Amino acid sequence: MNKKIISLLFLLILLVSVTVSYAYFNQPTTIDNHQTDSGGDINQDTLTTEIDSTFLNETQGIEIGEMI
Amino acid sequence: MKKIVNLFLVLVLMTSFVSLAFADEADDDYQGNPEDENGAHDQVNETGSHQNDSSENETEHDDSFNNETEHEIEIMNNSLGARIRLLQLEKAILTNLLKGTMAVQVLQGLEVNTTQLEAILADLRDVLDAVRAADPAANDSVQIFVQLKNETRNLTKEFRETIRALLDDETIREIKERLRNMTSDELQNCSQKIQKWIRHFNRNQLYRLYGIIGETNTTLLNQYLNGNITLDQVKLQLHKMINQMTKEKRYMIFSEVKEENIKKKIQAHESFDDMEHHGGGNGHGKQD
Repeated sequence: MNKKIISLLFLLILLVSVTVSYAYFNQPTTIDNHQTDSGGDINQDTLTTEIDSTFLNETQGIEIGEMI
Repeated sequence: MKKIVNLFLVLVLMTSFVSLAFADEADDDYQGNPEDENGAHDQVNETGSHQNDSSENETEHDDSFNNETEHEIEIMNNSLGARIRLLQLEKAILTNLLKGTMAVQVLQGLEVNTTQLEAILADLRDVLDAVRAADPAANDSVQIFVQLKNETRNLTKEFRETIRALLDDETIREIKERLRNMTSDELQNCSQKIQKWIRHFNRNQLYRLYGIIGETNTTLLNQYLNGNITLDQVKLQLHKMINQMTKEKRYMIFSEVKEENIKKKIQAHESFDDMEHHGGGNGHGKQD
């Protein structure tokens, strides 16, 4: 009887561990609110945003407030 | 057998509760605590403390101003970036000086005493001279930029508040309308200089990106530098080139670019924090 309970308990612990490990390793990584998956491929918008941010907008200026 | 089934059920139930608690906690951490925020707002509204509201708005405005400044100094780790930011500050001051001078002329026509406004404009001219004299290659160019930007902002605010105390809303609206599209040769020269240096800066960035990609399109670089194509066209070509690459290569480019961007952000944040703690960036002028 005791043996059966212990076996069942171990089985349950094993099941939970496997589930938690699976969820941990498969959860998407978040970088600045953009998602990338674990396969190494990245969202096109994420890459575009990151590259675009390396350039300076020619028309944007510095904001110091209005005089009036 | 019954006992075993019961035990199993209890264990499953407990595991579910623990998972639920963890999930809830994570969600709270991610979203912050909106209940507390709302509660705080309600409390303010209940007491009817408008002063608290306005000081809260001002703090928010200050935070947004500081965030902008922190973002602006990200590119100031080299003399080209520093030159661009100083020129942009010069342009902003020139614009405000031009508007301020015109506003004073209008007020003089209305026979309003403009002594205080003229004194603020004189201070603003001194700041403009200091911006023009600043050396972009100097080690303390970031600190000087932040200090002069804060000084400009404080003087602009002082001018705005003074003029609002002198005139009614209708007259202010009329003057604003008159000053909307005003320009000068000095301002245009400054804009052209900024555009030229920004193109140099973007060319360097593009060159660096080509280095990561492993291919260089010199024609595109030169066409952009000479003003034959726009930045958007350059970006389009670049994205087309990257789209044709394997996902591993795209990921490699993303990692390199992201790493560089994060490094710049950290450097700017540290530098800004350092200035704030040592009181190097507050500038002069009226601060509220």
